[in-house]
Amino acid sequence: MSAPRTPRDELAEATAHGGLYLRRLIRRQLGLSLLTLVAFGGFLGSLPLALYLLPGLQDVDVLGVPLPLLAIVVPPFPVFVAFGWLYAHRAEALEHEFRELVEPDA
Amino acid sequence: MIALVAILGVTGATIGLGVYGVRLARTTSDLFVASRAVTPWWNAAAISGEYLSAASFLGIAGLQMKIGSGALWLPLGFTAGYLALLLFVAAPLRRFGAYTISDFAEARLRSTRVRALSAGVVLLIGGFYLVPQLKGAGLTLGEVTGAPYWVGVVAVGAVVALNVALGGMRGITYVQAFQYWLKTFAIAVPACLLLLHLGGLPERAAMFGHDYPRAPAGGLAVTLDEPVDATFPEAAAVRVDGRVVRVGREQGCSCRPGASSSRRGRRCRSRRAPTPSAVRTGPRRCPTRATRRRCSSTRC
Repeated sequence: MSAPRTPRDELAEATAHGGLYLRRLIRRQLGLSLLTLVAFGGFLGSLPLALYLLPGLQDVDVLGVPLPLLAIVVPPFPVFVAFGWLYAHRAEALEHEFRELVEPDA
Repeated sequence: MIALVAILGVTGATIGLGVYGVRLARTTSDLFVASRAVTPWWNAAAISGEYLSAASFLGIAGLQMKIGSGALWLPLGFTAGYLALLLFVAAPLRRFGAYTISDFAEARLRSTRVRALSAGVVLLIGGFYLVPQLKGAGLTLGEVTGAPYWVGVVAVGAVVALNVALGGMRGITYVQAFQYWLKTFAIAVPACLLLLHLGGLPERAAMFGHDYPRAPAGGLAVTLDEPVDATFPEAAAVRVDGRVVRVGREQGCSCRPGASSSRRGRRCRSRRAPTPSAVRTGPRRCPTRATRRRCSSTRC
């Protein structure tokens, strides 16, 4: 009886098991990308939708600047950076988990 | 003259940076991804330099003039596109270790036909991206130096093609980062000077979102020292609000009978030339074709 086979062996020999590990990683990364896209799209789409459904907002001025203008310029860009950062952070965590699985002693 | 020197200087610096990149580009990895040695800040500057292109800088300003502040949603869309790029192109490509989208498509899906298809899509998108850039280049160079339209198109196309072919990703990154700081400076300085000269920030910014500058509460007074001939062949699109109209000639009417056909209401009745003296009239209905705006001309 040989030593128990590790995920690393399965990957190196490109077995069905190895393919499963890899496919699961790819699926999880894709799921993360789609989740980020839907969340960001929902946020960005809600801005014009809010202005459309609440026409009263068109005439609101904040510090002398019309609110519709502020809605375009101020919130999207920091939120955009935040989504990118969260995504990168989470994707790296998924890669790290995979590495732990493959190389538990490293 | 200054403009020509500036154009030559920027072009020279661009080619210089590209040539500098040539000396560093040795391997495939150098050419496509600069050996993955570009730091995030350099990369951010380079991508932002891409973002501040002729299309976004000149095109968005023009669209803003044409359709108002709603045009600002367009650059927001560009930016959102970068997130999609990160999620579905940059990150998978990097994880896969592929250099180009075509490489990735072929290796992942094991099909040369998919490779050709993805290369075609990339070229198509790139082609559409280039159209406004080259249009901007031709128009700008023509406007500044009087050169024919095609000169700018050919010059910009040649410089960029030379840089990419020789310097690869490393040269392009340096060029884009350099141009980003240059363009940021070139956009920020006139904006700051305009704000300084034209008044405070809240007033200017408030004007920005509205359709037209508003006249002061008492109405805007325009004084013409001499008689001025003015004909308005498309009177339907001309708007004159006023209390006193001094009409010195027959042409001096803002609402000519021929041009103001009415669907309902009355026509411009008088065809007499008005008296040359000042005529004070109250504003009357002047049924213009589309707008039926108020017009206080004596001819109406």
